[in-house]
Amino acid sequence: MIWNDWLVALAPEWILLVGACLSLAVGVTRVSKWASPIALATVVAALIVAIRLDVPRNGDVLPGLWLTSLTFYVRWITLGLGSLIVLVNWHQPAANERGEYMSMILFSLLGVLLTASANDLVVLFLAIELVSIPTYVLVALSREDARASEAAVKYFFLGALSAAILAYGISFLYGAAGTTTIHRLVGDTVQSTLRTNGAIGVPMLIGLILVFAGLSFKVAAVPFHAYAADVYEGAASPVTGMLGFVPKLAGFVALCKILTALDWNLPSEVNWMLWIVAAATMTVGNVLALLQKNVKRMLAYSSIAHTGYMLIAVLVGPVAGQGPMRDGVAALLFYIVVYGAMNLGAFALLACFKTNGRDVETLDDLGGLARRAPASALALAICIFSLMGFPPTAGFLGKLYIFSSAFSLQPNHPMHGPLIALAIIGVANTVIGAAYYLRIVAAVYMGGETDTATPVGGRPVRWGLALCSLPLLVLFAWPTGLTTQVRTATTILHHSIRTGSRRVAAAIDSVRTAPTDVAPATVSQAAATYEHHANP
Amino acid sequence: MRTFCPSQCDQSVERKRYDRRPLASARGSDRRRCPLLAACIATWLGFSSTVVWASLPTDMAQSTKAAAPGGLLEAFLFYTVAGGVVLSALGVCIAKNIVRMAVWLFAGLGSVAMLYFLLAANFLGAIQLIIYAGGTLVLLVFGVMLTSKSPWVRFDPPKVELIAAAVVCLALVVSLCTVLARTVWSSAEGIVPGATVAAFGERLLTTYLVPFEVAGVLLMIVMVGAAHLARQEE
Repeated sequence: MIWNDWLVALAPEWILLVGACLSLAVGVTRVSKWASPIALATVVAALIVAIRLDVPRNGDVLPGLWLTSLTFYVRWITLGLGSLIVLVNWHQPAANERGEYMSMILFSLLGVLLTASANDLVVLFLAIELVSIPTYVLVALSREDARASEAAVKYFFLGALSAAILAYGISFLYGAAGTTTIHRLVGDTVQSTLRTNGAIGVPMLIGLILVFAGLSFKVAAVPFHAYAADVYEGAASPVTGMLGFVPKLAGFVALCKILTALDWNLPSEVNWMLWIVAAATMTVGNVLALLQKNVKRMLAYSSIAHTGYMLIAVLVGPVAGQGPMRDGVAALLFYIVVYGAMNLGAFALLACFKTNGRDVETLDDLGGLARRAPASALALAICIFSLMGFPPTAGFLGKLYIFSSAFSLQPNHPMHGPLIALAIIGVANTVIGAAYYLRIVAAVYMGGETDTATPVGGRPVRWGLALCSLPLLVLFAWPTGLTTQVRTATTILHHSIRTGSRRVAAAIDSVRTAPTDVAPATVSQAAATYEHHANP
Repeated sequence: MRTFCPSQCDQSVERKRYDRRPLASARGSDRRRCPLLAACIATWLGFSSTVVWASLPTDMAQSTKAAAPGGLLEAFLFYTVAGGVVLSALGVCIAKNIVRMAVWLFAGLGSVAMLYFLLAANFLGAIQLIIYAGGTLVLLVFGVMLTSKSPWVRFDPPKVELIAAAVVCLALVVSLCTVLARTVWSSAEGIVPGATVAAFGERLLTTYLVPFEVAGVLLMIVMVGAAHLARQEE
C-alpha cells in the first residue's frame, strides 16, 4: 500500500513538516512565543519515532527514496543535535518573529533527513536546497543588524551560484549514466571499464568535479570557503552554531551517497583534487584562524579546518575495513556528530552573554569569564578542548579515528602514500589549531577582568550548552554506543561495494561473449539485470 | 572576495557611479562594446558551423539508420536556437545596465523555451515561457523600477576581476566543448510515451512524487522567507 509506505516509513519527515507548519501558524498569532516549545516537541517526537520506527532497511520505499542504515543513522544524529539547536535558539529573535524562525530550523532539518534517504539526483538536489534556503532566511532573521542582512545577501547569492554549479554537475551525471537513480550511476562505470581500461568516462568525471564543487560550498571547503567568516560573523551566535553543522552534514551525506554509487572507485584526477582541497582546507582554515581576534570569525575558520579533516576521511573511503578505526566513512560519521556538538556548544556560550548591550564576540569580551560564570566557562573549555582534539574529550577520538583510517589503507591502494602524507599534514594542522583554541581558553580563565559580560538568555540555552559539552566527555569514556551505530550505518556501503565489484565483473563477462556492436547497451542491461538479482 | 551586495552597490552609487546620464550616452558606450560582441558572435558562428560540419556524417548516418526525416533541419534549428541562448547569456554578462540585462535575459529564457519545444517537451517549454519569461522577468523589471534609486545604475567591476573571470570562463568553455564534442552520449532510460502533458502529469504524481512534494515545500519556504524579509524592511 503506497499510502502506508508514505505514512510509516517517512514518519519523522511528516512529523517535522507538520511541526514546522504548526510553528509557522503559531507565529502569526498572539501566542507566538509558543513556537519554541512546539519546535522542541516536534524534534523530540520525530527523534523518538525515528528510533522506534520498525521498517525494513535497505528497502526501496518510494520511487526516489532508499532507506538504508545510513539514512537511519543520519536521522538520529540530525534530530538529536536538532533538539539541541532548538534549545540554543530558544530565545533568539523577538517573539513576533519566532514562529517563522523556528519553522525555518525545522525545514532545514527536514532537508537533511531527505538528503539521507534520497536515491534520485533530483530528490538529492531539492533536499540540499531545502537545507540551504531556510538558512539564508535564518541568517537575516537572527538579529536586527545591518551586518546580518549583508551576511544573508552574501550567503544567498553565493549559495545560488553553488546550487547552479551543483545542478549543472548533476546534469552531467545524468547525461553520462542515462539515469537519475543514484545507485544505478555505476552503469556508466561498467561501460567505460570496457572502453578506457578501468577509468571513469570523461562526462562522469566532469559531473563529479562540478557536483563536488557545488557541495564544497555547503561544507565550506577551500576554494568555496570565502563566505564562511563573514556569514558566521554576521549571523547571531546560535544560528552560526547551526550553520556550522547542518549544511555540512547534508553536504557530506550527499557526497557519500554519490561516491558509494561509484563504488568509491574514484579516478585519480578526483582523488588528487580531493587531496589538494583537503590539504588546502585544513591549512587555510587554521592559518587564517590564527590571525583573528573575533571569536566568531576564529570559530568560522576553525569550522573550515574541520571540513578539511573530514575530507581526509572521505578520501580514505570504506575500502580499508570496517569500524571507525579503519573505515574512513565510519570515522567521518563519528566525527561529524562530535563536531556538531562541540561547535554548537562553543557558539551557545557566546549566545549566553552580552556585553554593553551587544553580543559577545571578541577575545576581550570573554576576559575573566571563569570567575563570574564558572560552569559556563567549564562547558566552553570542554568544547574548545574537544575542537582542539585534546584527550579527555570526544574530539580526540574523532581525530584519532580519521587519522588511523588513513594509516590503515593497504599499501597497494593508489593513494596510500599521499594519504599518509595528508594525515601528517592533518596532525600538523591540529598543532597549529591548538594555538588559537588555547587563546580562547586563556582569555576565559586568565584574561583581564572586564565585568561587562552579563548573562542573558534563559535556562534553555544553558541546558543546550550543558547537553553539548557533557556528551563530549561521556563519549570519550564510552564511545562504543556511537561506534556500533556508525559501524551499522556503513554496512550498506561495504555491501554495495562488494556486490558492485562483482556486478562489474559479471557484466564484463556477459559482454565478452556478446557480439561487439551491441556492447554498450548490453553492458548496462547486464549490470541492471545482475543488480536486480543481487539486490532484489 | 568581493561580491555584489546592496550596501556596497549603494555606496558606490553615491560615491561616483550614480549618474543620470541620458540614454544616448549609455547607448554610445554600448556601441563601443560592439566589436567585442561581434567577435563573440563570429567565434560562436565559427564554432557551431564546425560542429555542424563535424556532426553531419553522423547525423546523416543516424537519419538513414532510424529513417527519421529532418535530421539536418533539426540540427540547423538546434544550433541556431542554442546560438541564441549563448548570445543572450553573453549579453547578460556584458551589459552594464540592469534593465538591458533583463532584456537580454528575456531573450535567453525565450531561447531556452525554444530548445524545450525542439526536444518535444511542450509542457516544459510553455511553463518556461509563462513562469520565467512571463512572470519572473516582469517581476524583476518591476523590482528594479520600484526599488532601485535609478534604473541607470551601472555595474563596473574592476578590470582584475573581469580578467580573472574571463580566464576561468574561457578555460571552462574550452574544456567543456572538448568533452561535449568527443563524448558518445547514452540515451535516457525511457522516453515518456507520447510525451503528452497527461503522461507528464502522471509521472509527476507517481515516479516523481517525492521531488514534486519537496519542491512544493521549498517554494513555500521561499515565499515565507521573502515575505518576511520584505516586511522587515519597513
